[in-house]
Amino acid sequence: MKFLYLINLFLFTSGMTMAQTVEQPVKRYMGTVELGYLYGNNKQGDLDNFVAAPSVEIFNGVRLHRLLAVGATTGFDFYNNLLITPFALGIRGEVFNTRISPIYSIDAGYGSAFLSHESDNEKKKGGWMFNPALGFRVRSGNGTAYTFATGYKTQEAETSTFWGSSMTDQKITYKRVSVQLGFMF
Amino acid sequence: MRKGPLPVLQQAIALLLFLPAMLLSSCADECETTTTYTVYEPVYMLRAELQNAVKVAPAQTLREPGKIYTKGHYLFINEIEKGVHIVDNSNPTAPRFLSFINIPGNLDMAVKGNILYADNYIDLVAFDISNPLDVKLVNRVENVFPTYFGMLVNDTSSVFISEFVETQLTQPAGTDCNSAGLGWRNGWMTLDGRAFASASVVQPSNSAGKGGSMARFTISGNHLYTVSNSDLQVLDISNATDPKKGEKIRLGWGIETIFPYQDKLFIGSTTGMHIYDNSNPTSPVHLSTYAHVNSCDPVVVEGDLAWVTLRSGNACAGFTNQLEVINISDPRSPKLVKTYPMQNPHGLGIDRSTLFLCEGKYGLKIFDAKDHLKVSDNLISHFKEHDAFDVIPMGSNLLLIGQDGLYQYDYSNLEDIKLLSKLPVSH
Repeated sequence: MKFLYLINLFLFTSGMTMAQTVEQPVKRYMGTVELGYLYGNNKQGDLDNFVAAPSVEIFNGVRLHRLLAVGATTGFDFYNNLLITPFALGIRGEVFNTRISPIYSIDAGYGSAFLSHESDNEKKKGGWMFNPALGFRVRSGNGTAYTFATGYKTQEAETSTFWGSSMTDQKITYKRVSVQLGFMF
Repeated sequence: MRKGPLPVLQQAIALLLFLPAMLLSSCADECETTTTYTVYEPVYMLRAELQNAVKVAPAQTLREPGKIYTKGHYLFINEIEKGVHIVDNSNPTAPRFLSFINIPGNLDMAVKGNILYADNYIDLVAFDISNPLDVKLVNRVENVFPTYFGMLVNDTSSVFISEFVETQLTQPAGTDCNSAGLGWRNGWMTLDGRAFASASVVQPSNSAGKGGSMARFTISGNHLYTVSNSDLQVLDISNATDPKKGEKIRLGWGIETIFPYQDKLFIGSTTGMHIYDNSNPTSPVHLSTYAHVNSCDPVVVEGDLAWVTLRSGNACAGFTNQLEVINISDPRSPKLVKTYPMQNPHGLGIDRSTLFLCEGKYGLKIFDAKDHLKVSDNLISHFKEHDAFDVIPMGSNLLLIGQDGLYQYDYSNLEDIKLLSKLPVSH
């Protein structure tokens, strides 16, 4: 299941990337790959504990208008002890048709913990996620562009740890600042 | 680059660079942690309350039947921790409930003459049952079973723990986001205080007139033998209405059943079978212990052979389901003769080489055991339709208790075993 998903993801993204080498007069397809960090305070009791969770995000969508592209977002968010794989609907848009333009993105959906490692006495569950972001892109020719975006990501999750007949249940709402560098094609 | 958008862009970039810093203060993960754990809360009972609770009540239907015991044409059916049903069985095709003796904490019983002995949590009570419609309490021997739940009850203490109630507690455990490291705080609270006690409670059995293979009370001559988890208690009942505490013999943990045969006592434990010489009934002497893997194991004996069942299950901590045949012609060195795999054997009974074996939810199996080396080849019949805990073969009638009730079979013709009646359990 996990491997199947990963292989599909790879084939899909690589296939889409290769498809771009064929220039099309009207570019309908829009894809982005973004790497970054989700930064926030993972409080340990009363102590502040600022952490940064690495994040990878992949968007595939269709450009309906310069201001609106609709598609699906997936990726990996490496939280502490928890690997969240979002399955989200996303919209993207570019404000101007210039070489450098502000962009926005909104992703909303479910972040699954199915790829997360679980030991025998653990259960991990994902939850709803919401991730709006603002940034800008710099065209690099050939229909591609670099992006820089910063936003806010909230993600719900639940972990249960079993100790004999007792259980510790933790409901987590991650609230993080996302800082991402990406490539748009 | 055109002039127009640039100032806007510069502003946007500046904003983007400062935005994370502005958001940071509100970006703290929220974690809500709860721990759920099981506690066993003791329920205390006053000694006076215990004594007042023992009384005869109108007939009731079976709810959670435990051990069975037969004497004359009466059946005594234990209602686990509640009391004893008295059933008129003069007509086995239509048994009739006569009355119910309310005995809190009762699990086992035995009858000698007209006296019924029963455990009443920590005490032993004796009833006159010469008229089953008018049962009278004739005696109470205090503190015969003083180690209820492994806690020693002082002779003079006015309270004791009658039971443990299982409770699930859920408590908030703070807003610490430290991932899942909190459980250890409550880890030790989950120790199952009931583990020892419940091992003995769950299984029904019966005994004199005549008891089954899972009995913990047995009468031999003028002595009543009771086994607790750890001890064999001898009670002198030569004067039936006045039982006297005799010797107490430490047996080790996990004692489950006692079965008298001729001048021997066969005591089944979770780790093996103890054989005691009972020729001096006031002070049984240990002859040998036949040890096996951990599991629950009732014993019956006929001739030179002891039949032991081992089964797996929660209370029994074993993973073996089998029937063992043990040669006990030399009681000082019992020898395993043969092992048969079984499904989930509970109580068993043997009558003139016919072996009755309860397979729990797999029903009752009846074997011809004339050739003890080929028992599994000689299955006479298998009643699969209901659960079976324990049996008492009584010559031609068979008493069988299971989760759904008490069944009586006529096995005078082994080729055609007939169901006579059923006393159902009402839920």
